[in-house]
Amino acid sequence: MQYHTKALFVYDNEALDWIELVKNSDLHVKITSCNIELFLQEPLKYINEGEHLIIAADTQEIEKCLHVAIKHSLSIGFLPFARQKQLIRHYCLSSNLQSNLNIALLQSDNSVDLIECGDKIMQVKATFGEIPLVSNISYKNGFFAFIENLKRGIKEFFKITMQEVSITTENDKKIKTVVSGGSLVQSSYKGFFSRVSGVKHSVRDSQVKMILVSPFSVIEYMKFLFSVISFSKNSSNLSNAVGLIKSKSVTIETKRSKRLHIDDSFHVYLPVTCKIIDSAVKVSAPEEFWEANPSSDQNKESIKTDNLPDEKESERYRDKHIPFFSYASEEHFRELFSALRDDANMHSIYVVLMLLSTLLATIGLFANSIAVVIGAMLLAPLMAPIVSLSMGLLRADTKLLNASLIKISWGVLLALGASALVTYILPSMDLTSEMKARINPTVLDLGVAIISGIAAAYSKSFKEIIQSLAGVAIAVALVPPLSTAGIGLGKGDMLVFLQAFLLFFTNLIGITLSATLTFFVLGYSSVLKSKKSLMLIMLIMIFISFPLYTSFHKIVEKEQVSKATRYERFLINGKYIIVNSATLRYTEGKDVLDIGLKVREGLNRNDLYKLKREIEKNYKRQLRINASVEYIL
Amino acid sequence: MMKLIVAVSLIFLLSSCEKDRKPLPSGKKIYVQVIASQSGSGAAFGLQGLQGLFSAKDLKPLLPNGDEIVFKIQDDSSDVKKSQKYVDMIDKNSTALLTFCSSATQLGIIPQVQHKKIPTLAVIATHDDFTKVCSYMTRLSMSNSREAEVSASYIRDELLMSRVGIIYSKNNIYSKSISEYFERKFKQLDGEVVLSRSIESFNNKKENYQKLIDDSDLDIIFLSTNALLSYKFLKVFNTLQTDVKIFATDGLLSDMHKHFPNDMDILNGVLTIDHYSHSMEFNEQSKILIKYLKKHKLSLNSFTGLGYEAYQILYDALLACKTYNRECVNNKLRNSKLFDGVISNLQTVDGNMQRAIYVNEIQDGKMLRKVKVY
Repeated sequence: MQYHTKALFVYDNEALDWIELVKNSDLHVKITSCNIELFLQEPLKYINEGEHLIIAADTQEIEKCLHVAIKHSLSIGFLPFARQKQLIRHYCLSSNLQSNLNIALLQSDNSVDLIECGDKIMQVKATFGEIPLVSNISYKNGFFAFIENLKRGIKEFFKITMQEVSITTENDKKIKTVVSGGSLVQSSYKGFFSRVSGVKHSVRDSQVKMILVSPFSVIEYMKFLFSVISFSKNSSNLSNAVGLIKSKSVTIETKRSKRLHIDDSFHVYLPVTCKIIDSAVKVSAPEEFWEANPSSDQNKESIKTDNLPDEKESERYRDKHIPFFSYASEEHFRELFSALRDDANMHSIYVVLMLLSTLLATIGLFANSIAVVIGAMLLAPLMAPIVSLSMGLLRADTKLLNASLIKISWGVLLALGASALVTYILPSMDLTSEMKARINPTVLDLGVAIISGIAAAYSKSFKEIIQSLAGVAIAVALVPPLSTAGIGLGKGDMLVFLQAFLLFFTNLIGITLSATLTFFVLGYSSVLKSKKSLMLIMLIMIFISFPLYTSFHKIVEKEQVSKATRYERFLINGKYIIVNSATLRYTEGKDVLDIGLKVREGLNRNDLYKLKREIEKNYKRQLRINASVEYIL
Repeated sequence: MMKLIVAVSLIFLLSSCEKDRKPLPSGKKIYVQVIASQSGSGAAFGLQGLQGLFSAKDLKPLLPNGDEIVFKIQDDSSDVKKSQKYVDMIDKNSTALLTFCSSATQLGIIPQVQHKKIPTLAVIATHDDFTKVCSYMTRLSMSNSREAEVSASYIRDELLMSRVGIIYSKNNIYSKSISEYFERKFKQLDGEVVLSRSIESFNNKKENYQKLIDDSDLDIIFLSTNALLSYKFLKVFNTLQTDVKIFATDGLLSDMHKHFPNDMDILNGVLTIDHYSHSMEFNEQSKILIKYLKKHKLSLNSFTGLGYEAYQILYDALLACKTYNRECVNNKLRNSKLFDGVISNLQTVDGNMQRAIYVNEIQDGKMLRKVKVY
């Protein structure tokens, strides 16, 4: 390592105490010192062309020194104050004065590029507009400063407004779009800019690098922030909602923002042209800095704006607060919407599969065979029209809504008819436990419906997910109750039909609404029709809330009964009766309690009568009770 | 569409307003005498019971017709004679009497109550006899015989244990009475009562207890002594090498909380009976009371629950008797309709409360439900 033989230490009043230490450095460097104000008035009075400067001053004064350094080919080294975190981090320095002094006196043949915006020179970054938690990041230390910064940033999330911006590159390419904000960044390959853009950058690549942030929603902005935090160095993807421009110069014009803030210390007014000053100044910096910023001669202009709204879309977002969830235009997801329209149309494959799956499920239910019922679920084609129905509901798309409703209704009618026919043809058979489970649903059944609705919408949104898996999940919730309802029809037992059909209908609504909500969260609602569709969903919710509540209340009650009975005992006529199990069900219009008892002595008619009375008193209703008794020996 | 949503919402809102309409005061007062042990040996249950009573009144201060129940409180200092004197002093304006006293007091005031013909609701006392002897008394708690029967049945038919030892206190009427009921029932269930001895006879010596364990091959001990004696016994018993279980009578945890709050650990693993369990399912009534008590930095326990239920049953009885005639109120107290109590569903039949009770296991100062017995 070689050190300069002489240098000029320029300082402001904050660094007065450092003069002695700098002068008495044991590196045998001849150091003279000078107040920065005097130096800036007549620099050549204190130093010759090509000599070395050591600067200890605030950012605005450093910027002035950079002008002088460029003009007179001076090399520079920095002695940053502890508060100048951004400078320390950028040049890989530390908060130790002696260590920084050793680095500042190093002879260096390497230069860094600087960016000139108007009459100002930028070292690290320049921003315009709103990029909360990025553009306004505080370099203050401590947990409370971090929390304060975070709180302020989160509040700003909900105020982000999109504005029109126009960027012109050196090759005269013009990009017109809407953004919340933009940033010019001199970043190392480990830095923020590389993380967001997924490309390695350097402060020696002779390019002005600019990112434009255009989130369609608060959720999308959060995703962008997550990418800033978590992007690996090796990632090559451009973060969502971000555009990237690399050029020798960029001219920035905006409609709302008036200023470009530079290095958190000063600003220039917009419109402004920012251009690269190639190898502007030699800087004394540690080896680590040069390793992170290799020089590069691949400096072709590059524009990546696929993630930004085009001119047509820009109209919708301009000068508006971004919503919490994203909106989507049909053009944006053309493939998905056309697939959904196809799915909503009736075709012969649907009819055949629906018939086959119901026939199989009905036989499986009669055979009490879960394996056969699962086979039926694999065939059931219910997912496609339900997902279309959900999207139609979300976007208040009457055509899609009607087509999918018709398709579902036909499917239901076919299924009921097919299973009723099988039941009619088959010799009289009792209800199996698999059928009984469908007329006495549990909370878990509703859970299956809701989660499978989410899975269906989610899988439809991403091509890479195998959609048949979610289809099976939906079938779990729909095919067995539908077949059981058909069996009820075939047997002429309206109660079985109604109970199983209620479960089917509740699950259908659960799946549809959860899929609708999932599409909403994923940003598929229409910017124009979303309010109308939300109203429609609310109205449906109000209308179905009563049957849903009744059905859910019954489900919860059943769970409570079976849970509570684990602890319940009766002392009847001196006989201690242990309740081993209890299941409440509704058959033929009556509440039936199937109860398992354990006793040590026999129960007579009077005991049973009193037990029934006690149980009815406890449940506050008349019950039909079927008891099975085990004796403890 | 917006109008439709607003209309539906309004219907929901209006229907909920209807539910919360409160009566306006009529100015008429119904006087009810209350005798509670606020000092002396019964202070713990007396004070906690009153908390429950006043919580209930705060939550429902007036009858639907606007009449107000006014309580006239007297402290008997756990002294039977004082209670007798207070009953003697009851005038014609009082409609009913509530007592938060021990069984000894309740038995002691029978002649005065019978003479005054005042409907009396015994909130805490558990003795079997006073509702049989006195036609003006109603018991809100479980009876001693019911407690003993449940204890014996649980040990015999749930734990399937057959050899029990009974330890009672010879100077305590309650302890002797419940132990006798227990012994009788356990024998009926073909269980073997290996020994039945007063705690005083052990002189609280470790070797005496060890000898008892070694000689008798016990499964479980039924312990019916008061908090102080139980504390002394358990201090020594917990040092013995044995897996014999302890089954204690009701109220032990509350008493121990009052007298030995720093030594609750010695109760860990003890089985006990109570109206209440810390791990029971709370109904709407108990949720309302818990919320109220929490607001006033109090907590729900067996006695506050009983106090609250005393107000409920009295309220219903007064509601059913339009002129608040004593005979009518007495009939409604002694034979109530089924109602939701704080702790379980309740109904009185011939002055005896029919209610579920819990067998709990005590852990870290809490009674955790093992079973609920109807």
